Amino acid sequence: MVQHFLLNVISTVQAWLGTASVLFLLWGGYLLWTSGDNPAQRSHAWRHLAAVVGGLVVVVFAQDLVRLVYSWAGQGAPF
Amino acid sequence: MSLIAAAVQPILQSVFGILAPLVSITPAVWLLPIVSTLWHFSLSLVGVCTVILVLATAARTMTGSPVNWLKLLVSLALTAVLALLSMRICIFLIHLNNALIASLAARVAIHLSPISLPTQILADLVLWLPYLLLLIALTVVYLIRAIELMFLATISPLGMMAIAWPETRRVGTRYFEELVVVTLVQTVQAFVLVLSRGLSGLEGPGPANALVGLAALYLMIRAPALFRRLISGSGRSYPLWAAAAQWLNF
Repeated sequence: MVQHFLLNVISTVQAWLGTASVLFLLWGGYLLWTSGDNPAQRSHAWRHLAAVVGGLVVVVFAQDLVRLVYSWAGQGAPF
Repeated sequence: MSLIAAAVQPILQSVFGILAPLVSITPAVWLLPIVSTLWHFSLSLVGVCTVILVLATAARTMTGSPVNWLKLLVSLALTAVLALLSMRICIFLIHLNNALIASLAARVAIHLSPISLPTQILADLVLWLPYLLLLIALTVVYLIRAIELMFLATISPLGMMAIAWPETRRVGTRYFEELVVVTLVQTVQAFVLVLSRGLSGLEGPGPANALVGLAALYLMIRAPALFRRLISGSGRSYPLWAAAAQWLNF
């Protein structure tokens, strides 16, 4: 029961971070849109978008990443 | 036998009944179903906490904070390995303690036997009652140690996880020190017993022998606190493990 609750906590955190990442992506798109021909601002916007996409990938695969590490350590993930 | 000695004898017998098995060996706490169940629960808790830590790192990445992914992966791998090995580490420490006591017992029999106290009235008042009180206190110390050992074994995955993450390493080293102290203090207590036997033999009546016996009991009660101070240092912050961590550049 507690384990079920904790897994629900993970799902909730993932959902919140997913939502946040959409907002960050929108913000990155806005930065890119308003950067015009300024290369520094463009570069900043692309870096921001890359960080958001990287973070989003980790959010989606967080459980799989931990499961992978546990299977590497010799046992299935304990959750 | 005087009146006081006669009155104390039945109480002593019951105290010895509880104390005798606790002095010479640490029981296999990992075989207790409740310890095993709670350990598995702690392990699953560690898994969930690890996922949450990964999610927190992802959130930091999204906000543009610099994240060292290599360190994260190392911490993840360490968490998994240490959490899975946590019970084996506890079992190893208990086996080590039992082996050390067995090696001591190979030289001198390690058992508490009632010391022969003088039977004069004055000696009764001065020696029998402190002896009984010290024995009861020692029984309480051993019982607390057994309970603490069970608790430390059940939370061992969480303690080991704390060692793997830089932010919680201080708590983790504190946990590990406590585990070492609680497990190996029995060897120190057995050594005190052996030493006192070497000094007096604890055989035969006589105030000198009785006083050595009382001093040994007192030292056995104080041993956990003294051993803890030796391991973690008095007033300093865990010098032994801090030095080890510094040496390993961990």
